[in-house]
Parts: sequence; structure tokens; C-alpha cells
Amino acid sequence: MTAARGESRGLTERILAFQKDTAALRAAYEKALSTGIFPQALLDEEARLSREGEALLARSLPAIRRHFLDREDIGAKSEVLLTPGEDDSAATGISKERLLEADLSKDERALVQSLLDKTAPEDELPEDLEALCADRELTVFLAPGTDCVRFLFTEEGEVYLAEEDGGWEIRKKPLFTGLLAQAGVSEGDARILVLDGDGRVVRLSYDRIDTPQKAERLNLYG
Amino acid sequence: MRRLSELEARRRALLRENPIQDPAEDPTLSRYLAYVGKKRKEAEKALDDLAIEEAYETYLLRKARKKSRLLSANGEARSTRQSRAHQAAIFQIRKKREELIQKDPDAFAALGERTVLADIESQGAGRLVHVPYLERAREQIFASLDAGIPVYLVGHLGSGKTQLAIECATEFMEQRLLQQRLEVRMEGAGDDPKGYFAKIYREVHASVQAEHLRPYFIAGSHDLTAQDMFFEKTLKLSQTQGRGSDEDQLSSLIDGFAAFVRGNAEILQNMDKDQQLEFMLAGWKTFSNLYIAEHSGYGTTVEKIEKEVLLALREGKPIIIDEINTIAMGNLIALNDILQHHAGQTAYVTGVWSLTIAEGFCLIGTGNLSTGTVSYEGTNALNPAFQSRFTTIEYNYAPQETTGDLNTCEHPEKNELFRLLLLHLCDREGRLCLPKPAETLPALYRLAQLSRISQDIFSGRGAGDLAAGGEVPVLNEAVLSVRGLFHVLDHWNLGEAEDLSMALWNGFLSSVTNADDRNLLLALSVRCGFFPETEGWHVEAKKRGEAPLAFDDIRTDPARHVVQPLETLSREDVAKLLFGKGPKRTKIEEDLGEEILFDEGKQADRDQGLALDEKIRGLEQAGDVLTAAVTGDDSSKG
Repeated sequence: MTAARGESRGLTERILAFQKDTAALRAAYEKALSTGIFPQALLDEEARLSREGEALLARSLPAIRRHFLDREDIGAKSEVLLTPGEDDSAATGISKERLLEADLSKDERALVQSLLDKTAPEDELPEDLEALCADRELTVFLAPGTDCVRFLFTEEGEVYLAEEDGGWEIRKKPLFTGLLAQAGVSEGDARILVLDGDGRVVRLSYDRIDTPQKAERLNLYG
Repeated sequence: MRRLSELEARRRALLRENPIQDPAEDPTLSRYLAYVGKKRKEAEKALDDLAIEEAYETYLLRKARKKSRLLSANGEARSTRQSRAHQAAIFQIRKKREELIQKDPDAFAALGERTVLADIESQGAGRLVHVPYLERAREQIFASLDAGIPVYLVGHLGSGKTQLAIECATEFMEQRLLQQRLEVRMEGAGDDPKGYFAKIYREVHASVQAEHLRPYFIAGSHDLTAQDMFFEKTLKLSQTQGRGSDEDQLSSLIDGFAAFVRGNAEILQNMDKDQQLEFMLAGWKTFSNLYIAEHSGYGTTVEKIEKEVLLALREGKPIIIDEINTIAMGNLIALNDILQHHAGQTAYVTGVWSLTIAEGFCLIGTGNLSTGTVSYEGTNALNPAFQSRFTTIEYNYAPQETTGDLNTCEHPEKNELFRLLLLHLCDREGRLCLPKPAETLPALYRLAQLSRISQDIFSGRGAGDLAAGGEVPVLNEAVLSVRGLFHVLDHWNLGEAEDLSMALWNGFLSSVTNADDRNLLLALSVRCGFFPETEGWHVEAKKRGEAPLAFDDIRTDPARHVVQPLETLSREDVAKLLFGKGPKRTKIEEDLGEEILFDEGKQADRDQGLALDEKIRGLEQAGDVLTAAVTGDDSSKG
């Protein structure tokens, strides 16, 4: 714990130093702008700070994700991948033939198959996330995802996003509403496939901050 | 080897009075400065020579036209072999100048700087700046006046129609006087008329300018009658005695009597002395009685005072009738006969009978143009028969690109509104002091774009993509005209006490009383990057018919302005901003050329600066994200 705190303090100091150096670079740039000459030292400093900024952002990605979890422009998207054919009954759902005809890659087809094979929700919630759901009074019946991201389906048809960074955090506003799912499988950290109430296979995704470049482009005021 | 881009950057830094180093410490730079100075002088001389050549050909062209007018049957100038030759020569000179500035970097810079200085002088004297849009209108006006056809200038408010009419009329008078004086002076030209012309031209031109010629001017109104234009009859109470002293009166009486005696000297000689005395006494008594009767009475007399149109017709001067379409059509008809005759012909003038129109008379009318969405109180559409006697010229707002930004703008010379705006901020020497020019200049460019967008909507010329798929935006009463733009800039005062958004509110938007207009103009301002949320503003979108947004509705944080230090841009910088970079220097004729690497095309300093600015913005953004996510978290936890 002490080591972690020490590391955090070291990171804070590096960030403060980075900001100070950036301000100095801006001042040097403004000065150079009035002459139109950009000395090599200025260009070298910009390159050094770019490297440092990227390293700091990469290292802070989990913290950034948690901090910006409630941002408006989170890029939540739902896309219907497959619908039952006319001959498919409600009871049997999407037939094997329909799945083979669908325009899907091999991996996608295998994942959809595993989704169709699921008979009941079996995603268990980590204990601390479960406690957090209880605090928020969320009755979660389905929670597909990975070790660090979960899509929480509630009985009210809302889908919440939970991110882990040393502890779980649940987004205040739901990602989707009016969506009831029978089963779900993870397709990576930012995507899941679910079987909805109409027997359709739907891909749910959001724009996860997973690179320093994405972190840098975040809208601070959004 | 030294890079040319570096030497150029150092030279331009010297012009900004912000030298990177003392040029005396850098011999190559000193030699380069001397070289550029010499080339600039040569370029200025070449431009001067071309200007004199053009003036000479113009003089000859006018002389040829005058001759043609005298020889023609109806007093109109027709093209002749001589006039065509001079016109062709003028076109050739203009082409030569165009080629020179496209090829020679020093000529380009010299002309750019001269134009900046001339523009500033015009603005300072309250005259219009000669942007190309204005030049096109002026050419049309002069062509029409030269042909003896009156001009009707129409357009929307704040475009400068009245000023344009006054300037064109004044210049028309100056041109005529200049021609007369040149013709007189050129009689002594001798064997080298062109050389002689070059010697006397500037002096004659200055003498004409010193005359301060002014045209006649009438402000139109619905109550203006034909009498107000031609002559006014007024009753005058005359009381002729008592003005002079008693001695004067007596002297006048004696003078008159002496004249009477001289006129009757022959009769008097044939009389004896008594008869003469009796005759003289009777004469004196009668004469003095008559004098008293004539000079001591009070009475009312009718006096005719000639008014502007009649004076202009007699004296051969231009007359401007401002807001002509506010005058009742019944009264305007009185001008009909004058409008269809030109100088030298006889025209009927109401109440005067007829008179010969003097050389130099011309008429310019101005009027606001009502459209489907904008109505100017008190104006009427001109009767088509009346209007057909004019050349109608529409003169509105100066051009400005409404898409893109300053840094990506490929033809800066086409942004004439931005030019007017920057010139308004320059000092007398053409220098421009701005806070953070890298940020302020693009913001000023956006202000010019906002102005033009509002003008387009106001004049019903389309709203571009604003109307796509929705309600067509309309401005009924308010528009950010050049006048309005200057108000905003004056409020801004280089950002001393307020930023541009605040100045836009204080100098313009707060005065807009039409609710829909204000809401739309605010929405357009936000679209152009003003009133950002990050600087303490929040402008909510409003539909037509909703209440107008007030200051308290849009200001979320009262104190955000930070005073920034001013940085100076030289006149050359301003010229480059307005007219583009011009041709690159690709050679130096002297030994110095061997020491220099010509890299100006490859080293795009502005592009490099922009790219670097973008990168630093990225770093600043990264710092803000990290602070919010990591440092902010730490402090909240701590």
C-alpha cells in the first residue's frame, strides 16, 4: 500500500513537471513565432515532451477511464448482427442454416454460436461490484464482460457500464435503455454480443479509452 | 551557406522592432538587408514609372474622347483610332504591372505595403478603402458618367453607397479639372511630351487636390418638392434705405444729380443763368424726391433662390440625390428631361423654361433596396420609366469567404471584409499591434466571416448550409455591417478590457432589439467560435418567436478576461496577411547569392509554426486530462 502511494505521488510529480515544461515550451514557441524561426532545441523539447506525455497517458489509462466514465460522448452503439429468419420459430430462435448464411467472419460465427448455446445467464459478479450494485439498488440479472469491464443488464431494461481500476466504478447514466437480453458473451473489453428479447443477436459497444491518443483527444468539458 | 528562410525571418523580425540579434554582428544578414533595400527601391521605381505611364495614356485617351465629342453630331464621345490605341496601351501597362508583381518578390511587397498605407490614409480621412469590390463599382460609375448617363446606386444599409457617390462625384470633378490643367500645361511640352508629362504630372495633380472640390448634395425625403431641387421662391421684406451713412446717401444723390446734369448739358447751354438756376433747382427737387421715394420704402418682394440641381446644371458640377427613392414620384418626374439630356444639350427645367446643361454636370442617386424580408421605412420603388433613365448599379457588402479559416485560406486577397477590419486596427505606419496574434488573427478572420454570413442572410443572398433541412434563417432589421464591425473593434480595443465575444455583445448584439434577429445572430456567433462555454458563456438555441436572449442568460462566469501583452506585426506582415505571400525569391544577382541556400519554398515557416502549435495544444490537452484524472483524484482521495 505504501509502495502504491509512493508510486502515485511519483506519478503526480511527473504530471506536474510535464505541465510546467509544456507551459515553458508554449512560451518559447510564442517567442519564436514572432520571428518565424523555430530553433532545433524547441523542436527537440517538443519531441521529448510528446514521448513523456504518451508514457504518462499510457500509464494513467485506467484512472482516466474511471474519471471520464460519465462523459456524454462515450460513443455507445448498438448494432443488430443477426435476426431470426421467417421460418425460425420463437422457441428455437436463430437456426443453424440462418447462422451459416449470415455475413459473419469465422470468429464472429463461433461467438454467436456460443451465445445461442447459452441457456441461462451465468456471469457472476465480482463481490465488490455486487456490493456496489446493491448500493445503487440495481437488480442486475445479466453481466457479460471481462475482468475489467462489465455491461450490467437490469430488470428495467437499462444497461450500465462498470469499469475496474483498483476498484469498480459504475457509470451514473445507463449506456442503453429499453433493452432486455436473454444471454450475452464478451467480444473484448469494449464490446459484447447479446441475444435480445426478440431473438436477435445485437452487438453493444462503446468507445473505450484504450490508447494514449484517445485519452489526449478527450473533451474535458463534455 | 545560410538558409534564405532564416535570413528572411531575421529581416522580418527587425521590421517588427523585435530583432533576434543586432544585424551588425551578422555580416551576411547586413549584406542581405542592404540587398533587399536596394531591390525594394528599384521595384518602387518600376511601379512609379508604370503609374506615370498609365496616367499619361489616360490623359491622351481623355483628350481623344473630348475631341471625338466635339466632332460628333450629338455631342457624345465615340471610339476613334486614337482612343482605341490609348485604351489598348492602358491595358498593356496594367498587364505589365500584373506580371511584375507575380514575378518579382520586391515589387509584390512594395505594392502591398503601398496599398496598405493608401488604405489607411483613406480610412483616416473618412474615405472608402479601395478594395476590388469597390473598384469594380467605381469603374461602372465612371463609365456611365463619362457617357453622360446618370447613375442610380442601390443596396442595403451600411454598405457605403452615399460615401461612394460622394467620392465618385468628387473624383469626376477632379478628373475634369486635372485634364483641363494638364492640357494647358502640355502646350509647352516641346519634343518630349512623355518626359515633360512625367515632370509636371505630380505637381498638377497636387494642385487639383488642393482645390478641395465638392459636388452638390441633396438629402432625399418624402417632403422634398421640385422647388427644393431647382429654385425656391421666397418673400422678402425689403428696406433699402438706412444701410449707408448720411454722407454716403448724400454723395450717392449728388452723383446721380451730376450725371443728370451731364446728360442735359446741351439744353442747359442754351439757357440764360436764371433759367439755368431755376431748371437746376426744379431738377434737384424732383430728383431728390424721386430718390427718397425709391430708397426709403418698406415692401415685400418675391425673391428666387436657385437650388442645388439648378446650380449644378448651370455650373457644370455633379449633384448627388441621396435616398432618391424616398422622394415622391410626382416630384421626381420633374427631373425627367434633365436625365435624358447630357452636357451641351438643352433641357427643360420646371419653372425656368429651358437651359443648356453645362459641361461637367452629372447626377448620382442612391437608394436602399427593400427585399421580401427587409423593408426600409419611407422608401418607394422607382417608377420603371424613371429608373430606365439611369444606369442602376447594385452596391452591397465587400466579399469574404464564409468557410475555412485564416490559416488554410488560399486567396487572402479575396477576403476584402477582413482587409477592412485589419486596416481599422493598424496604426498610421501600417503596423498592427495585437495580443497573441497567433490566436487573435484567426478570431478576427472569424469575425469577418460572421459579418459576411449575417450580410448574406440579411440581403436574402442565401444562408449556405444553415438552411439545409430546416427553417431558412432570416434577419429582418439587424446586420453586422462594416459600420457595426468597427463598433465591435472599437469596443474590443485590442483586448484591453474585454475579449472579442464580450465586445461583440457590447458593440453590436446588445443593440439588436428584434428578438429573432438577436437570437439568430447569437447562434451564428457561436457557430463562428464566439461565446465559448470554456470562457464563461452559454448560448441556448432559440426558435423563432421566442424571447430574446439577454446578457444574464448567456454569461455564466463574470470574470474571465486576462489582459495579454501586445505584439507588433510590421507593415510587411500586414500586407502578406492581406494579399498573400507573393512570389519567392529564387536568385540573388550579387556574390551574396553564392552564400545562400534558396529554401523558402521548402521551408514553409508558417506551416511549421502551425504544426508545432497543434502539437503543443495536444501536450496541453494531455496535461489537462492527466491532471483531471490523476492529480484531481489524488487530491479528492487525500
